[in-house]
Amino acid sequence: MMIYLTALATGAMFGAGLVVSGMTDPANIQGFLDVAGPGGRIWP
Amino acid sequence: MIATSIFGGLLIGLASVCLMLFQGRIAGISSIVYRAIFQLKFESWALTFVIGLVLGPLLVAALNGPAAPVFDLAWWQVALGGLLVGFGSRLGSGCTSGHGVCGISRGSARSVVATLTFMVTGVITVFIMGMVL
Repeated sequence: MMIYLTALATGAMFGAGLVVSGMTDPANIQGFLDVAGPGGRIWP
Repeated sequence: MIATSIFGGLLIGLASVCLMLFQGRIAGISSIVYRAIFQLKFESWALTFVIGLVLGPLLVAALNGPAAPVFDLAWWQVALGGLLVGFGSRLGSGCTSGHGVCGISRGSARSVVATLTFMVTGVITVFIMGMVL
């Protein structure tokens, strides 16, 4: 029983962390990976 | 914005540590979902974890208002992306959570290589898609 409680709690904590940190927003991820900047410019 | 990013990151890290402490397992989400579907008989906790994974964001939404991901894409583009992510995760023995969060923290060389590979590939993909779209 205990392992199910901890599994549920850690799962909920992980999921909440993803939402709170903004990692569920595709725009955030793409913005982070877009090192060349919007428009594809390497230099500002 | 920075504060919520740090707090969210702390939650992710803390959850990963707790899973390792209580379950002795790596918080690799793709692998846990795989176990919840295909190895439920032996790994029944995996399904409970996945249920928690869904309940957590619902709790945040109940407290803070809904924050559903917005995909500015056609359904088939999302489906194709999901298929590629799933295939790559299986081929690479894990995804961002297992390799990026847990693997690197544990000093796994394989995870460092995997993370560097998918980050560089991600940067190249975003660069190319930015020129195409």
